[in-house]
Amino acid sequence: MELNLTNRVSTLKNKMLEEERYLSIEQAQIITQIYKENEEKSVALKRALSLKATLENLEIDIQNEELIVGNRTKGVRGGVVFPESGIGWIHKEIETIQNRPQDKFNVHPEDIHIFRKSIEPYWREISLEAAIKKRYGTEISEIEKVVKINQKDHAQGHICPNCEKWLKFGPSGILAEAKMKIKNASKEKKEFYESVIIVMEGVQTFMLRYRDLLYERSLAESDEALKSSMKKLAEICEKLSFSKPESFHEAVQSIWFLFVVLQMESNASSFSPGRMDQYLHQYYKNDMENGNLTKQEALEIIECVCIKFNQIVYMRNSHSAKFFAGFPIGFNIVIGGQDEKGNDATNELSYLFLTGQKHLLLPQPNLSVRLHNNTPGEFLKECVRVVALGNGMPQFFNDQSVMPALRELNIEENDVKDYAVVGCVEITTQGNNLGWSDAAMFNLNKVLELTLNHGKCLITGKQMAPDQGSLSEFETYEDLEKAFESNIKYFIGEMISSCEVVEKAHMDLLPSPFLSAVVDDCMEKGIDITCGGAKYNLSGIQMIQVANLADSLGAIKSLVFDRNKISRFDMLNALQNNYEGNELMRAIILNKSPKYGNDVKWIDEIGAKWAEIFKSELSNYKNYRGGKYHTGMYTVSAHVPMGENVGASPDGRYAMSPLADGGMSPVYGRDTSGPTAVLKSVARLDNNLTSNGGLLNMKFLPEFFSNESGIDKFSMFLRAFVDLEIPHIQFNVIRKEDLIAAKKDPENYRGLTVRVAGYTAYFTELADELQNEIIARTSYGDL
Amino acid sequence: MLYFKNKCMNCHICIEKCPRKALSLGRNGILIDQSACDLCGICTEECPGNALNMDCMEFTLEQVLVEVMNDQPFFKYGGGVTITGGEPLLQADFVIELFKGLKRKGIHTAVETSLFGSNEDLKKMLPYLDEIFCDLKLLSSEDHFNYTGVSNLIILENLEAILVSEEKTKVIVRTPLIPDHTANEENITRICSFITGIYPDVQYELLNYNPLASSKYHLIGREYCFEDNPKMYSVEEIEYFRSVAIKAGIKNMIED
Repeated sequence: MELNLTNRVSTLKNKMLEEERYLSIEQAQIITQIYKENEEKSVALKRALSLKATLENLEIDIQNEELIVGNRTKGVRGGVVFPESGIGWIHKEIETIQNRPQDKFNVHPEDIHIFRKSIEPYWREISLEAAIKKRYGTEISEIEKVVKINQKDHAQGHICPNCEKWLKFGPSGILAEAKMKIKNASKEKKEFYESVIIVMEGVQTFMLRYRDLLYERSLAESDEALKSSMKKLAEICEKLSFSKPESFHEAVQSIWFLFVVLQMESNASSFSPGRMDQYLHQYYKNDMENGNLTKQEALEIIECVCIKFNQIVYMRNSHSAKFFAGFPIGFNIVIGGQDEKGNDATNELSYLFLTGQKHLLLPQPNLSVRLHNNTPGEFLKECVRVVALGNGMPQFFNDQSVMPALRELNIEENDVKDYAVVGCVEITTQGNNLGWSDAAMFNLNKVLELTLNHGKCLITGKQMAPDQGSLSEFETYEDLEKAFESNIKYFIGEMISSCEVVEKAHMDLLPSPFLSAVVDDCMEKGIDITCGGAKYNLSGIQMIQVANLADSLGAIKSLVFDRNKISRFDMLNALQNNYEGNELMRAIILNKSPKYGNDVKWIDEIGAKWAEIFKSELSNYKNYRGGKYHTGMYTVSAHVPMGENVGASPDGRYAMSPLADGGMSPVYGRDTSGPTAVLKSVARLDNNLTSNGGLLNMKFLPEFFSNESGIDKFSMFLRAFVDLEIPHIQFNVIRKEDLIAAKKDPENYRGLTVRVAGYTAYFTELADELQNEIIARTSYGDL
Repeated sequence: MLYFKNKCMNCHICIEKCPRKALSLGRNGILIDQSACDLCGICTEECPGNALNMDCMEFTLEQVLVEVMNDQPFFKYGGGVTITGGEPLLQADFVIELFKGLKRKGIHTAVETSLFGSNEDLKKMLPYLDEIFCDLKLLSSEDHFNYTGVSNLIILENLEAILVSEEKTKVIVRTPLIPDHTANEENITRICSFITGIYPDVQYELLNYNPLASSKYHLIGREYCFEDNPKMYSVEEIEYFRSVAIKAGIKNMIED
């Protein structure tokens, strides 16, 4: 049966995209007022009361076509000012945010005035941001060029709540649970349960407000079909306020309310719905069996909630907006994978989510697919067909790699099998984990730079690390390795102290009762999630970037120490001068030393070796909640700003230019041995290095996907990807602009191949007019 | 020896290091005296920008097999090894041994050949092949001689031999569409009538014109047959050529 994109869904999509975005201070005003009225109360209670007041008073709106309602601002895609975590940047940028180049938000002029007069002054000294700055600001900024500590001015997020529990109990069930637990609780735990009671009551009111609004608007609606669907939805909202969902439609609405309230409480980048095709399947199946739902209706509901995932955005400062353009908020849905017995879990809903993605092509949800040895061939092909549409989704995760890595962290087997994804590519267990997956990004290349140059920054000359000599003085490659390792340990120590301060500040200032109520075992223990109430308490550190590191150390080892092609002194001198006047040396580095990503064992193993050293040193520490630190290899787009901090590097990279993208991907243009060699190289990185998530980006021209035989080849490629135990892969379809860039800048696109009637050539080696022809015929505009 | 002018850094190290003095500085960069060059490879190793490249490399049988087996994780699901041109039949002994080795490892094998080679060699190769792609550019012997420098007599004989052999189902005959040369109704009709006359179920494929070829001509300093490189044929034009082939009796048309 052909499934269609309905008029209702297209209308909703268009309305959303047409609506102007505004900065919103409404919630900030409510929170500030509650804090002022309750000065004597604890932070936990103030937070709970603020959320309740928001749920009761925030202006709400609906569209009559909606099958799923709810938002945290009246308008769509509002930029919410959230004072408790930090608004220093808004204070600086509120006037310019409407004209900045990336991710503009309109601002009502009177809001600027209110913000300046009554919001900002109140929070200036007491926000999370202010507290961290006061407690440890100097130390954190001392190391910021090497280690970027995150979550200094916003809530952590990156959490998969227990959606199954929410569906089973709803706000009323959890309210009852809290009321029961509070009876025998100790004094401090009483406060936790009290907070949960306060927020759940607020949630019930919030749902009823949508019921009322739907009824009211339905009276004025002349279209009978819409009128009746609005009334039906009003009934659903009412039911969810005191009971649990039974139908598929009710369940999906219930899940959306959950995510709206989570964002209201935390304003965090990424809360993820996780395995929606699994926990919604029972509802879908029942409805289908009873004849209460058709596939087309189910798809429409799914598409309506997928549109909703685009209506809550995360407003970032102008610097960060440049690198996380399009205000991504990481509603990550993962489909496919295995059930608790290890059987394939793909079902009809998995396909419907793919169809939804195909119809909408919106940036959210961030759609992920779990692959394993028994993923059905047809499902795999359908995934590739969606990838071929060119917006990079779905991305693929590999059970064969991720599950062993999670086992190594002593995660219980049922949680291992049920893993999901948060944010972009971070791995989590579902419903019981404060993974703190973006604790920090550790720039290994900056540490190498400092090691080669007396601990001094090549860009500013500032002493940043202990002086252990320089490249000119290291007699052997092993001497260099020794100094490098010692510097890594030094910065890990510094990083851990900073991470602890940040976690402590979150405990003090951002207790989150609503979130805690839907993450096991907080309710059981009576402990807030920020204080370690969750079953699993991890912290993830990203290693930035192993590809550049392998290429750099490989060039030093091979060209300087083993083959004597370049002297130690000359190499250091070239780095200090950003290769100026050393073009021939740079060419030798680029062309005469192998690079990571070409299936050359020894160079790939350099990357793996240093990642292992880093991970093993890190495992000596425990985080502030008592959990483990572990590692990931992804930057999303931070390879650009992280690269700006690094001087010229021995891999031939110029000072301040981007590092390799992704996390496990080779450096741009250095993988010249084809896609199979890339997979072989990446496979040399052990699974356990990426238990927090890894990212492999590969680019292909659209013609590689243009027919079924291309789709088949990609499916086979993905099968091999599963066998090679690589944790993650995503495919970008190259656009015209990329080819234009490649023509101008061949060095960074050396691996780019084009196909013409069964023949493949390197794009950058083609003559001018041929490049133009390929550019002319590569177009994705018409999709 | 290939010279990529856009990669040349004008350091002239190659001229200095060439033991046979085969390199010199011309108006457009490095000039290679191909007759003096003995392919020792020193210049390619020394050239910092990799502007000088060997067009070919010598491998032993074992080296090729090692290279192939690097991709073993992928062969489980498809793909395999295709030996292509130059002309595999010109190195038949090596190629046959290689195919034997690949078959022992269970790898899918294919060859792309112009069929301009010994019939004996071709017969020896056949048992080790899963797919045989045969070029047939022009049926007119005279045209063939004019454009390629040889008559197509051997080619037609070889084609007939495999199209009557037990391996005929593995054969795919291909005609590259080259404007003004092969891409005309008469040539395609004659080719198709010829091959379907031998084996009515023969698989046939029309290859779109490949404008990238001109790049290679420039790299080795040879003149290309077109002054203005034509464009690839459009979907509609390809459809027309296919209809010609079908009209001439093709039942199994390969489409990409």
